[in-house]
Amino acid sequence: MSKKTVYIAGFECFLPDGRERAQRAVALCEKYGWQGISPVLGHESGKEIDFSKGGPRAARQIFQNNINYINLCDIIIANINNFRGWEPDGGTCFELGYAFSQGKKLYAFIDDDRPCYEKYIGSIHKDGPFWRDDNGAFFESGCCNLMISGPARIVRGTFRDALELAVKEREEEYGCL
Amino acid sequence: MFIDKQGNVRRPKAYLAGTEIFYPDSRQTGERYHRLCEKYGIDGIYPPDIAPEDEYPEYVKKDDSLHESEVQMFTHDLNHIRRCDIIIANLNDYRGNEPDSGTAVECGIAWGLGKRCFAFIDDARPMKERFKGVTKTLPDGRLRDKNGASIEDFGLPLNLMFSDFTIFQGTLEDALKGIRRIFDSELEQAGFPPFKTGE
Repeated sequence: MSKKTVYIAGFECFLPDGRERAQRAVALCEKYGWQGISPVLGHESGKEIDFSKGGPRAARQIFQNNINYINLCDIIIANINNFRGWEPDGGTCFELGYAFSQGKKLYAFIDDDRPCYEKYIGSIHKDGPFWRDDNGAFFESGCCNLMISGPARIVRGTFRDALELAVKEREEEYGCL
Repeated sequence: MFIDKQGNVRRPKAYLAGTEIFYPDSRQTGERYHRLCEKYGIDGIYPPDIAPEDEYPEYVKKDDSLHESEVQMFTHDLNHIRRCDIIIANLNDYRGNEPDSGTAVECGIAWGLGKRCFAFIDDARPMKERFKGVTKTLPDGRLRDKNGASIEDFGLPLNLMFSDFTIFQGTLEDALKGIRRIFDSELEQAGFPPFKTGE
């Protein structure tokens, strides 16, 4: 079986210990004989970012690098835990969508896989079959938006749990390691 | 009218992604959005719109499980994106400081399928300026939120993964006006007349 490559998506890039988290995820991939590519750590195929010509230009280069990294991967494992509110990081979600459009296999992990309305801290009310928040917005029945749980395998737990499922599914698909 | 990728002049189809579908007035919003798109010469597709009979069949559920319903609704929206030439996404903050995740996934799919990508947002100032919440600049010079997560500082209103989106400040109508200007200027450059209301 050829070495599988995993794109490690999540909001780690924003965290003070993001590099260490990314290194741990890459090391876990290696433990299974897979390769992990994290946008936080970059990859040899990545282009150098030129910050001298302004933020938006540098952002675009990073965006292009990330897209290229996803292109190199077979699967994406995304951290879809809430980020600054009740939604996952928007960049991570974009990456899931892009990966799907390119035929990659999608995995996502989440700490708490109860339905959104159960997890939500804030006032909610029942409206027919729906639970709604105080702005009237309804909650989906799953643990995340169905645009993620439709195409992705959702795993309760951490990156490790999602990776282990991916490895197991790969083994089942090929009958051996 | 617009010039499509093959160089043909025709009406563009736009997928209208956003959180509008979550609210009790979704149906009315959908009707209003269709009329607005029409005004600017664009065929709007609102996510709940019934799928036409074409090369993108609806998913048939295998059982009554939640997951099968999710796959069915996902496929319905995915097919609408496939039918479109452009996506216009409402990327306003939703229940916090991030856009709605479903909309963001649709943006990634649309971009990956080569659709032209547009978005609108109430406040299109750089994230650092528009951020709602407690922030603190640390000795490393980075602006961080109350949990220590850094706030992007690239002079963009949204996460850098939306770099290829043309972002308009305001509502869907503001986006439509801007898109119309872009399409009209492309038409004129190619020697075609711009769109006229009622066309």
